[in-house]
Amino acid sequence: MSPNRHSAALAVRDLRVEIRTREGIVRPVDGVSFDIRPGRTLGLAGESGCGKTVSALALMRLLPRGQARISGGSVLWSNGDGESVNLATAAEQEVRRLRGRRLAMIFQDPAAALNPVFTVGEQIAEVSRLHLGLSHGKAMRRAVSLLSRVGIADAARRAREYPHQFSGGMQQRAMLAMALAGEPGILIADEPTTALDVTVQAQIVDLLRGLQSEAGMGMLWVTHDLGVLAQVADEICVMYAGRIVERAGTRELFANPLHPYTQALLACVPRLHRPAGTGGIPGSVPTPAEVPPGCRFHPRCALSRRLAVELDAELCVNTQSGSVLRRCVDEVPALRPVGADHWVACGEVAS
Amino acid sequence: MSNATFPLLCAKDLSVRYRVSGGRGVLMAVNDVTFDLLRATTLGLVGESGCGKTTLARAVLRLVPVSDGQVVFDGLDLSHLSGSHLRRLRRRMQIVFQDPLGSLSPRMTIGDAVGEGLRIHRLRRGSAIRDRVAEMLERVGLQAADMVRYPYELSGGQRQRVAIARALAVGPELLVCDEPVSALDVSAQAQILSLLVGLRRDFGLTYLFISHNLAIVDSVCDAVAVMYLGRFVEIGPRAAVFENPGHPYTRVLLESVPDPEPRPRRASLRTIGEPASPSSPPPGCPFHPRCPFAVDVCRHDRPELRATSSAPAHRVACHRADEDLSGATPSNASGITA
Repeated sequence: MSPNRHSAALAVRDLRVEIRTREGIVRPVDGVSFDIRPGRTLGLAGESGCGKTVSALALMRLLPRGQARISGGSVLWSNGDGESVNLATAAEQEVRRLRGRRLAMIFQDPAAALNPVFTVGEQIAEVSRLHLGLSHGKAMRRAVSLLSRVGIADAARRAREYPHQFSGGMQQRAMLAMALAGEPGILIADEPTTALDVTVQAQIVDLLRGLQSEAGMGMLWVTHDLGVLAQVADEICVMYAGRIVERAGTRELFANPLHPYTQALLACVPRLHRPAGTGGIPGSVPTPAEVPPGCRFHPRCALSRRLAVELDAELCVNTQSGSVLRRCVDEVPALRPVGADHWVACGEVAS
Repeated sequence: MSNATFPLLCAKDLSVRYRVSGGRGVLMAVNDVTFDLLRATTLGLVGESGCGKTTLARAVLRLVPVSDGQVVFDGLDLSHLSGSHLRRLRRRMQIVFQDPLGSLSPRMTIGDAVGEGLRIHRLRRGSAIRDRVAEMLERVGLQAADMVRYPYELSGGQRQRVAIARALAVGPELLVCDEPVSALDVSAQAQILSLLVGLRRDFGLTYLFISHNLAIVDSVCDAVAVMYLGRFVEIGPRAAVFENPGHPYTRVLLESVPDPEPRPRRASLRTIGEPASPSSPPPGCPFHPRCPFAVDVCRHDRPELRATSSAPAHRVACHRADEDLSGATPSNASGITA
């Protein structure tokens, strides 16, 4: 284990991503800041299309070349020993040295991330050979021990099998073993349990928590399901239409969700012993090409609409989606502190 | 509509076998399953990937052949119907699949997809097709103007609305929903679930609702069946199954639902590993290799579904169903009492 593994961190500041489309340039990530701290898990939550995955790919410098690029901000990786690299601007060669070694990523669909023509063991061993310089034999032995560490029984035999011989849950474990092979200090997990059965989801959640406390990794856990984050995250950023709208410690966020979007998203989480009541959040996330002015959530915001009914007409404005507060259309709310360990980007909540 | 107390759908000792290539014998995807589904009610079918729930759904629609037993729809045994008889019945039983992108043709407009059943079953002609399509699209929360759009132009939730509109256009009585919200994010999930609940009420529909997540089934079902390696291991009224789960597997499924309340970590019931292959199920109780409560008898004798002492309609296939297992696991602090 590398000496500085327990203190690697990632500081993201004002990250912006541009994508070139036929209609022009759009910004799916538009000024996002957060910290991944050693030994802690940061949850990044939001609906499909809110920019969570693009943010995660940007941190890893895995945006599709020629189509998307980091257009602003910084992603400062540091190892706690004074070495630091700004991944937003570092040369490709430098990024390649760190990626897979210091930072690793696991994805929603393990079947797409594993190569079907190599055995699972070979793919895991490849990482140790490349990043740790192990010989073929040593790397294979290490692959077997990594597989058993992620809970795969009969690992020596399983290492010689191909991905299609693994179930979905086992493929996810194999991908995790591959991510751990470089002994990364930072792990980015993009919906790692979404495609799995609930029983296997629970197993993977337990596994990742165990590995994290054992290895002291900093983690970013990206998901649409706040129910999962309640189990794994120390701190949560809620993202909407390319921006962070609320940020708080996990307990604080669940006890005291302030942004109307966070409240709506929480109400959607399926729970036992509670009838399906909310009916979801009306409408859908705007595409980056058609983000509304002011607060990007205002066309779907229950609070703005409710206040528009209660308050004077001159404070309101009629929009396509009904009457809302004028300030929600006119002012872009900044992420402001509202308490210890709690920030919200909502003009109404903050005032 | 005929007699309301008469079940719309019955499966009796239903089995579906698949021949496995490479001479590895026979796979029992569905094994000896019996249930009644009353009109205007919803049966939730729960289990992990590979437990046979989708095959069961396909068998009741006769999309796969029935190997043994019967499927009776509205008093008519359709286990061995074919051709035009079956086709006529298909109008009355429709299905919504998990992945709307896979179940909608990318080259058909939304309007053509929703209208196709009307043409096939000759339910409408000419401009009446268009009117019905517009009506259905509006009923599921889309707009008539969306008719000219293609699936790729829609979000996942909107596509699933199209799949629902297509299924409902022909006026079915039974709707099979096979993981209808699993591919959607939570906000779209909640929208689609509340749409399905509203449609059931307005059209008096009967649902067979499949999911691997008990929290989703909880919000829509009247009764729940839990399936494991091709068999029902528990079936009963929703409240009985959720509040008084009789099978250890049901308890594991309940405890696997992510609890959206951050709280100090409690010891909870987990299974180890994954189900055995349905082509070589273990002897005895199919769940015993993963069961935290397995004893000797579980390894040799397969338990039959039996009524529990508390409710006759609540049936459980577990040797230890009538014991209090709440304190039986070393690490079990689940608070669920058997």
